[in-house]
Amino acid sequence: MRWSTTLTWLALPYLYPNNYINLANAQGNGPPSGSKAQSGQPASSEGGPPPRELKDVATELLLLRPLKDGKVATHFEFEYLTRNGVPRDPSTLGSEDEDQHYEFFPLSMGQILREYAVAELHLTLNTGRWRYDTWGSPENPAVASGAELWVWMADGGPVSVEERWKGLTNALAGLFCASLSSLSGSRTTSPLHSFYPEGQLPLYFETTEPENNTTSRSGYTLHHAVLPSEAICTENLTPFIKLLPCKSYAGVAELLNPHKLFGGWWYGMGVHATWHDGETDSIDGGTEVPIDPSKLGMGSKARAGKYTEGAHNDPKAKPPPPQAQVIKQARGVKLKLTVGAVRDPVEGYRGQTAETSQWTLENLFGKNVTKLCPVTSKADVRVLLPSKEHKGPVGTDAKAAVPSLLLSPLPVAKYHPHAGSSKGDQSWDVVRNKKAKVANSLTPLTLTRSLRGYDQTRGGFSIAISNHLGSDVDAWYVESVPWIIRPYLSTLHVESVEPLPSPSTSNNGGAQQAFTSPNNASTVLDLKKLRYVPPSESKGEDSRTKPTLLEIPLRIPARSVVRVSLEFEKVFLRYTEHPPDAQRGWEIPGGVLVPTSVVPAVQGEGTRRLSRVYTAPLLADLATPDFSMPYNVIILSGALVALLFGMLFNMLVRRYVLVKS
Amino acid sequence: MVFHFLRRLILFTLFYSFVAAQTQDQVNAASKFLQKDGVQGHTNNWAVLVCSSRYWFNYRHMANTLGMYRTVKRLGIPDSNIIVMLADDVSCNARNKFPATVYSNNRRSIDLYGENIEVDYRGYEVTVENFLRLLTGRVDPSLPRSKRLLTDEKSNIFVYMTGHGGDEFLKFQDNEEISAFDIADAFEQMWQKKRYHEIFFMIDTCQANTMYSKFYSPNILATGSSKLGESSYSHDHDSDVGVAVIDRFTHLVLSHLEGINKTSQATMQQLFDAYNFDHLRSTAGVRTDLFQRDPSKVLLTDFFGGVAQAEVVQSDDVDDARDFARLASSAKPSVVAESQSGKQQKVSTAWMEMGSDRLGELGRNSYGLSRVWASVGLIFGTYAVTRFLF
Repeated sequence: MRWSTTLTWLALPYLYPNNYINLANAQGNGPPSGSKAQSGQPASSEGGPPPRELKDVATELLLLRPLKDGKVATHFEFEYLTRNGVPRDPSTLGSEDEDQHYEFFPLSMGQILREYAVAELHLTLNTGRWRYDTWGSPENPAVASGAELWVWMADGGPVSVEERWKGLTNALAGLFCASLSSLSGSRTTSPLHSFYPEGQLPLYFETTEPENNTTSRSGYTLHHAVLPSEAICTENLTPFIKLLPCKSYAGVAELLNPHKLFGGWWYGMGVHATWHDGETDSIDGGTEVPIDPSKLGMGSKARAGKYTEGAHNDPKAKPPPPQAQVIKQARGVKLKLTVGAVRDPVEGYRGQTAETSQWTLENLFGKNVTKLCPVTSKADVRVLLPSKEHKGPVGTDAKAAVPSLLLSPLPVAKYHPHAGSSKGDQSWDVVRNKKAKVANSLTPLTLTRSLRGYDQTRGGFSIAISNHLGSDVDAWYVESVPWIIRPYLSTLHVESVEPLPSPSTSNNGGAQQAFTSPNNASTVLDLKKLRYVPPSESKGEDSRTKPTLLEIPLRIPARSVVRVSLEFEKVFLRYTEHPPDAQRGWEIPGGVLVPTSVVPAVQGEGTRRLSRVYTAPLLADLATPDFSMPYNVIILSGALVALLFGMLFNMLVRRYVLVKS
Repeated sequence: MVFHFLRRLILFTLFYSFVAAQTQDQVNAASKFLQKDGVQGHTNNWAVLVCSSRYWFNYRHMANTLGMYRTVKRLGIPDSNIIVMLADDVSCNARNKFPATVYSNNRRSIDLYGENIEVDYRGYEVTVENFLRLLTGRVDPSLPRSKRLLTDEKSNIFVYMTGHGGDEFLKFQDNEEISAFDIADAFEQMWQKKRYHEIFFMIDTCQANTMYSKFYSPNILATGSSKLGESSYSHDHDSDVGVAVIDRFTHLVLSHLEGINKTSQATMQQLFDAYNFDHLRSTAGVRTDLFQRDPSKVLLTDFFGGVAQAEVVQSDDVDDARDFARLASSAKPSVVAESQSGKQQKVSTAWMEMGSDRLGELGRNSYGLSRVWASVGLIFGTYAVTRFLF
């Protein structure tokens, strides 16, 4: 298995087409991927004429977005789709798995996904807090601090979901050098309402309940775990780069320089495995539709000068990316590997704003793109153009609204406005040479959470959720607190609903006045739908390991702030339950707001879901003992025992007699 | 049908007796090949590098460990055979002015973190329990391969520990301690379970020599940075990093190893002779009574490097060896051996490969070995004969 895949790697199709075809045909003799239960298996390899279509599709993307505060958000995305692949049916877990043949899809990830029959997986490792207020919406919504892992797995096999979850966390911990092993058990929750699959979930068995509309989720359980204190560094990026077909030798992956990435203000990486049936589009999917600058009707004013356009001026140099459509509709397992970092192009220079910042790929990453990875069918570098006029329609992604510059495919020739297009130089760079103002990109929803109280037994959360949209938004607020904190559900209440103090809405702000009355609190928080999973009903050991899960349904009125508060008790810890750095405090994972409302899409076609919003983790201060105290106690009690025993022993043994002189 | 069966049976028996007769000689040759100075040699190298200190101000302990990591990796031990335990993350620490780097000298000439590193245990995972489980192999079944010490009785293990310690203990994360008795018992258990061939134990901490004083298992060579009652001191201080960046003892060892490559013939004794009180300001110690070989005949690369030992066989032995080479190379690609003596003769690399896999699993007795060779020969031979005849 391993051998054949390695051979395929060697035979890069563009370099050795003949070898490749032979190998591919030899591989095609195996059983078709996908379970037998799937009736709609398209016979793609029928006939098998020599110019065989690639089984896997590899694309890569680098997105650069100048931010308001002069920093630049960089986002790498590597996508690998294995066509017609279907996640493993958990009922086949006892028997031998079918052969796995991948071309570009990383084998080690494929093996993990199949070994534990994972239908959908999202793993992110991030450091820092994403500043929604200044940086806008992130390129990928998964920006939780620390490690976040959530996985959809179907039940109904010889191996239980819990066992597979444990094995999966361990396997991923080994693969990515992360301490994810501690995720299983003490950090795992299963939210029911809030998180939804980003791809689709295959149905392995017939569902008998026709009234169940959410058929795609039947038989599936979601496991969600967050480890807020997990750090990310080069040892996590090293195995990540090893998953890429060209490693970091070619393509945009050349820019993955740990010394620059991990010097960012925020940085993180993610692994997202989803399955798409191909017939219907997913709800969100997260698929990037390439934005064509010409179609957007970008005025020459917006175009000229902001970025010096090179390759895309020429219509021939901008071929329509054919694979983009394929990826969107193709059926198969898709693996999306992302790396993101918010970099300051001029490190150490204070007082820099967007007006003064100038950058190149070279000073952002310390490296350049020199060549294209030959196996990728599409490699884009996209720069989101800032524009002075553009206010950023509230409630839209900056990504979708701001016109972008698509540099596709990745030119091999040098792209440098000063040097012209000299074909000799193989390196390639993007240069931002014109100062421009970056509009304030607002996210539709913002969320803050803070800790109340300073004593070591009680405390509380204050959660403020702002809706900047012109319409009400329904959302789930998910709080999964570790066992060291026990929330009192009875204290959960909406403190106030206030209109946003925004200057733009002050003219017609009268409409929002109605929300300030506390009567409306009941319409904001629907307690009947609330889901509360306490650690355990019993007072057993489970209550000291399992976390508490709260899924709070909220309706946030248009242009207003909802303040929710919740009080909790801090558990008194045993001596051995403290971490080595107990004085630092205990990290409480960030809360998540998952909107369920849909808003009209920017392009005016259909609707789209709002992406979820995270809060920063909090440090809770728990009662920590003086750790040298046990030694003091031992010494003191030892001295006391010795003293008492000595006296008693003396009295019992010693005979007091008069000595005759 | 019956005729066919009988014919196969006869062939089978004949072949088996042939193989059994041939095997014993070859087993002897194989074990002779693996011998070095009258002692059986090793076939694979492992390194366990432990930094047991947390917090930024213990930067130098992280640098010590990563310096060792860099050196053993440079000398040929692959990442899969190196277990790195780092109790804290200093490279991507917010206090680190140089992101994703760890430097071991104030000139910042060598970045120890580099762009290709694998840390197996980190943060809260670095505990006494995990360390002892790693050594003894008593781990959870779901534990990934990268976190296991998959050694056998032909493994040479280099164990390096650094942190804050005292008389017969080493602190883990300021929270718990491992005692000299714990490590001694763990090594004994490893010996009984045939998990090592030889161990080189190195420790850089205060009163380090007390940590190896309780060892009682054979084939352990141990060295430490300071004797009972002495402290071990740091070496370089970097004003930009803001803390001391390496310890004196580790600095000395690393500088000594810096001049060594995979083909080096430098010995352990040369390293021990380089220990210098004026430089270390502590009395570095060596314990050799458990070790069977003379340190002046032990190569540094026996423990710091992943160098395969290849012996040169005489030309009349080559014919015997060729059969084995053919069998083995059909199963797996042979390794590139580095000839220690540098003579240009025929080198039987296949033996080494077979030895590293098969010899380790069975006992040290030659009976086990002969069974192995016999069955390997039997399977291939029977297959070949039946394919040819029928």
